[in-house]
Amino acid sequence: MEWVRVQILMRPEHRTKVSVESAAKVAAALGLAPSGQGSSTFSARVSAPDYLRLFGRRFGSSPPTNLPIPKELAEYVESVTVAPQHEYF
Amino acid sequence: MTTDGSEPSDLLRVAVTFPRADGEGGPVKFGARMSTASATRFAPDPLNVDVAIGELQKAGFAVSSRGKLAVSMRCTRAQYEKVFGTRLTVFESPSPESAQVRKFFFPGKAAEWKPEAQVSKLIDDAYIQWPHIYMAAAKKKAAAKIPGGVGGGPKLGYHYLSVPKGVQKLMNLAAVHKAKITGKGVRVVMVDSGFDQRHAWFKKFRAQSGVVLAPGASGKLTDTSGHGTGESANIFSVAPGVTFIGVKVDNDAAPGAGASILEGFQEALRHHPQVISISMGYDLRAAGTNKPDSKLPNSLVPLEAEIQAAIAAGIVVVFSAGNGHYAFPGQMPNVISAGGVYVDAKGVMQASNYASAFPSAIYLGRSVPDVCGLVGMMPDATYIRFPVPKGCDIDRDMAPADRTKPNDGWGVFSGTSAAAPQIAGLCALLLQKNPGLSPQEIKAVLRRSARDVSTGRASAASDPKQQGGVKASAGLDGATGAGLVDADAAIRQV
Repeated sequence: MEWVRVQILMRPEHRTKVSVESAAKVAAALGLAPSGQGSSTFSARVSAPDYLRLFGRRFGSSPPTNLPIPKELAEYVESVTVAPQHEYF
Repeated sequence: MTTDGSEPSDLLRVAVTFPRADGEGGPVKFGARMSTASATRFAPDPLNVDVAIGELQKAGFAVSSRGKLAVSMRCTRAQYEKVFGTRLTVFESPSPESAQVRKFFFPGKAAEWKPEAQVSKLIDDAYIQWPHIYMAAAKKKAAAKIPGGVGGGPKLGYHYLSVPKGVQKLMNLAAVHKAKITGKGVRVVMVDSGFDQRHAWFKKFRAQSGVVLAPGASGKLTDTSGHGTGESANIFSVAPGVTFIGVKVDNDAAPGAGASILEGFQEALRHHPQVISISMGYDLRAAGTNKPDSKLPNSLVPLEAEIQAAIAAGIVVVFSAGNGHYAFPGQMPNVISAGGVYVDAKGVMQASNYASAFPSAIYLGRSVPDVCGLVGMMPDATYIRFPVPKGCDIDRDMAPADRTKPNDGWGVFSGTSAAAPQIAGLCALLLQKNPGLSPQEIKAVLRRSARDVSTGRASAASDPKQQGGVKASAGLDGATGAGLVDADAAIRQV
């Protein structure tokens, strides 16, 4: 199964571990599987069908930009983006 | 701490067991021998294990592996004594000649055992692991003999640096190490492709090393690329006493499934780092131009936020400046941005034309790099001979350029990927000497004490003016920042 790596940036007032944990739980219920978290962000993996369901577009069908924030996460979240590919130096 | 096992190591390997899921005693407190038939009955409640691990991590313990019945953790002697309310004494290994180490710490017979209450209720027991013995001592000796003499590796017909000695010499580390400043007790996390430490070169560092997998990564012992394995040798060369945690981000079988840098960074944060070293990044080049991007892409804002939070929390974060890239996060103002200086066979320094140097167009006023480590020259930067997994990508792909064999377990390479862990190692030395230093103070010390580099040009590919690379000059300059780091001079300032 194809998994998409997404990154969730918290709103400034919610950049705390407690809020991150709360938001990650909400995200998990939506089908975003949390894969890592810090004090300002959390990462998640989402299947291609869930990506389409949650964000209303197929993965890779449009240039990388902010994804629509699911309403259940709107209170906490400033942005949702797809993780870019890195390179080694 | 010595690494030859003649003195007991302060770093302890602890096996933690837990009560059964039904709340009854765990395997250590069980009054009889556990059998294979009953083993599954001792499975703990995973939630309880998570909470217990969390409590121990708060006390500085680090998970090295997690099994069905027990969790292996590492901690220092002081951390163990504090959490379990005991005193450890030195024990001699029963078979010192063939043992992994000759002496080790263990609670004495009359030692107290008063675990902290919040830990006591969550665990069954926490055993310090005795050193294992080698079943064939002769084999052990054979493994310790590395081909190529001191430092190991093949001799090559051109100027290159060995690890650890060549790097140590040019970073001016002799007096620092002689003064027993080796990074002991400092936790350095490196996020990279992987860390295969089965190479003989890493033998003496294995006891103080751990590798963890970031989300999506696979193969704790492997590194098909060889990048992380090789570059980690820089940290051990500069700071051989550090507690090293490697966060592997690559998935050996499915590269796209590996972790993002953000996931790797988040994983790094879980291990209570004092220093994080990352030799990866993104090239933020405005589309169709040779100019740096002037706006950070939205997809990198989360990583930026997490790095800022980490630095604000006192963690020193070192990133490579790039190899002709307009590198991000290497251009963030508060990270230590590691550029490159090449030192030739006669000791003459010049800016590496392989390493990036550029004014950031995102963070106005920010000039990359801050300081430099040792980096080779174009076209291939074949400069430092690193141990790598035999037959890995680097071993194979670099062979035509570096004149090593494609399956010999050595590669000669560098890039600012080498500079970042060199500088991270130096940060660990500074933190051992003065644990109270802030990231800002450490950067200031590195810059004040660096050796000025006044000749050469940085990479032409990261020169927005397209004048052949930012030029080095006397004093602070755009090509090398403050110049090549100097460990001895830096240590004297803290």
